[in-house]
Amino acid sequence: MTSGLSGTAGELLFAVRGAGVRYDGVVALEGCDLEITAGERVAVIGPSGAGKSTLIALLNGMVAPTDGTVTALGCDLARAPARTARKVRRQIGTIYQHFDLVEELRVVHNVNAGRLGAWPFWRAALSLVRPSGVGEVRGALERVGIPEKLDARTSTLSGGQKQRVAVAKVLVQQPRAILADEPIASLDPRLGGEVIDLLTEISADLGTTLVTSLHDVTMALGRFERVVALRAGRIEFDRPPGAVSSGDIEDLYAAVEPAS
Amino acid sequence: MTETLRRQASEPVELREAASGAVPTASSRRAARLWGAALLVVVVASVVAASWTAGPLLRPEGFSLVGNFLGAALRPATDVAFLQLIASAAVTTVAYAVLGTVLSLVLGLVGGVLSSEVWWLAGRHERARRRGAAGWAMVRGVLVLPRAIHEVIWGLIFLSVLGLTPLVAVLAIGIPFGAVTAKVFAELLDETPRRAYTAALASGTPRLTALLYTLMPAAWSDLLSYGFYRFECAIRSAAILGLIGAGGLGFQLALSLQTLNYPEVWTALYALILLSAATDLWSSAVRRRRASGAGASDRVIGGSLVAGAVLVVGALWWVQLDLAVLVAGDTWQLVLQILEDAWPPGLGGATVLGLLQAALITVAMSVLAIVIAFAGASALAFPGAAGTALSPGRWLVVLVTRGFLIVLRALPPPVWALLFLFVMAPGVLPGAMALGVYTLGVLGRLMTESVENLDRRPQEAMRAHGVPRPTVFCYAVVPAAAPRFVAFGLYRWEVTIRETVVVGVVGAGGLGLVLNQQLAAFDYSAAVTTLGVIVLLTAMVDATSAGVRRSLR
Repeated sequence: MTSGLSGTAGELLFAVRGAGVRYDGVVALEGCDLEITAGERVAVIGPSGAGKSTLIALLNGMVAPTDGTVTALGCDLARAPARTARKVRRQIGTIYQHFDLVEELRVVHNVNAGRLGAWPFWRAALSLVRPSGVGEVRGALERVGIPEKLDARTSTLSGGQKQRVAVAKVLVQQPRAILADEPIASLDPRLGGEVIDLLTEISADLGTTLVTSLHDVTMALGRFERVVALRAGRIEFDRPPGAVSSGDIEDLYAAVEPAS
Repeated sequence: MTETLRRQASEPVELREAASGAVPTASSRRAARLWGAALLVVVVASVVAASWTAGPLLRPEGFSLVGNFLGAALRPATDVAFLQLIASAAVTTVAYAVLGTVLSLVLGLVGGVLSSEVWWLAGRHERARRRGAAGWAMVRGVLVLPRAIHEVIWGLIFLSVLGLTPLVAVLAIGIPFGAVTAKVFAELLDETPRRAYTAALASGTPRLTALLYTLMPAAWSDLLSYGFYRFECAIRSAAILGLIGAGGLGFQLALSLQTLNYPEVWTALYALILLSAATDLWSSAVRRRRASGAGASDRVIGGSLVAGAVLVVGALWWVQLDLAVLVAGDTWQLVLQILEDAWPPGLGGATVLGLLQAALITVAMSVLAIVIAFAGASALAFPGAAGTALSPGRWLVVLVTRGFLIVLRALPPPVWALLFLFVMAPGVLPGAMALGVYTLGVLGRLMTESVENLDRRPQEAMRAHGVPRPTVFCYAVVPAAAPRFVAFGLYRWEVTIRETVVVGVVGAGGLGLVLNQQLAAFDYSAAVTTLGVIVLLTAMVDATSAGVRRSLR
């Protein structure tokens, strides 16, 4: 297992080339080119419906491009055999806006869910009866600041705590890249800031690549080293936050004129 | 939202769809009127078809028999030897029901996963989805057959292959119930939010593990509580299977009936009623607890799970299942022999016209039965529904109504049929009455529960305006209850068409009788044809019922 170490810095992790996605004829993304190398911390911004979630889903292979290609860790997830795709996906941890935890399970199982890809079925099944690898789970929960919740039923947690569990889940997965799709959109600003800090810290400490889509532009400009802006399914700009002017942001969020 | 969810959860899962709320629109009202007219025609035709017999309908000489029979109710056989026999038969019936339920849950679990949309389609790309859709359709298709064939037919089939072994009853209950459970479980899985599941797939988790961690925790407890409902049904099926010779209470009942030993019959009937009432109460207690959001840590649910486990072990010990017969060379030789005889399907002694006639009689029987049941049940549902702060007199009414309904559904339809045959000429009518009376018991309970679960606010608002009670009843209670009643009635009609076979077996006519005669004569090739007609008929009734329900929605 490569553990959290990201391998050689500068190694190409994600390559999106001329990618487009159409859902039943509706264009979600169009002509996107994007390269993300190991260790980068990238924020994806843009108005609602610009295609941020679709871009994240392209990177972890849950959506296949209708045009162009996407490779993640050198593998074309849309075309690779299921087994290979699964192996690559184990190296990519994803966090979602709605946390996507199983409310009925105890926290320990939800954290363990991050590494189920590496476990054979019998071990996963047994772990539901007698949790396996509790030490690492506790470590991850300590890292995100809620070690006391190990045995709590997930449904009893607050929104902020749930998102921390989701982060802990990615921690035990030890991926090479963390993708986060609007991870703080369901949290208040203070909690949201804490979660983003946590993610960037983890990324910095472990050298893990981080790609986050965000609504909050200040957060994106203040805490990331690269900002990718999407508008109506196209990449509007892609540069370090220092090179993003307030005019750029205004243009980005200006009302989209009706498509011709 | 949780309010409605919980309310729905107190009903068996397969009924949720049946009862899901109906808001009539102009076009649906027109469709409903059309269906109503069609219904009237069908009912009248059914009455005509059913009463068209060569001889007189009633057998007056039978009434003295009925007198004797009813008189014996007060002096059931109580000699120790017979009581011991009945007790051991009752344990056997329970054991069959328990093991049949366990088998159905195992089959339902596997079949449910394999026939769920989420297993085949969720989180997959175009190409895999297309393959998945094919696999999904295939599994669903495979599951239609076992569902369409009634337990008793399965019983007859297994009897001819395996001979008299407890395995017959267990398989005959487990297979069709398993297919129904699979359908229900698949729906449960598909209803569970999928985001956690696709998130797990996104991190490279294999499908089965992802399912276990993300969908099962939510669906699991519903499956278990559904298991208790199935157990309640299995008790009745086990009793019926006894009648065809599989042993247990039903078998003792049949023996006593054949020798016209009424006191013994009553002892067996009382045992059956007791058993049925006990499982009814148990199952609804578990489901009510579950519906109020309690989990395995709840005392009733936890205790029931432990009791269930004890029952399973006890049942295994009691019936001493001999699985060797399944792998024995003789068995397979016999199966091959039967399959060889059965293919190609033929007509045997029957004619196409005869089969068609039997099919029509079967439909007529099911229509009459459901009309009787619907009328009776909707009348009894209101007095049977308990509310808050009841007067003692009202409580008495509730208890008497419910006791009456329990007795009606505790006796299996074939027993009712035999009772009606005392006073009526054999034919469709006694069969329809038997099914109708039994279904009245089942439907009455479903309707009572749905009346109890009605939203009380509109009634209270009207009463607060000083509207008199009868008016409130007509304006607030009936309109709210009616759509659910109709949905339940249609759902039970689907069940009833399958059950016509059961009374057919005791001579009430229709396809069941034809099939039974063919099986008894080892005419397997003709039996396959009849079976095919039954499956076709069942599918047609299901489609009609689904169509009516959709037009009501």
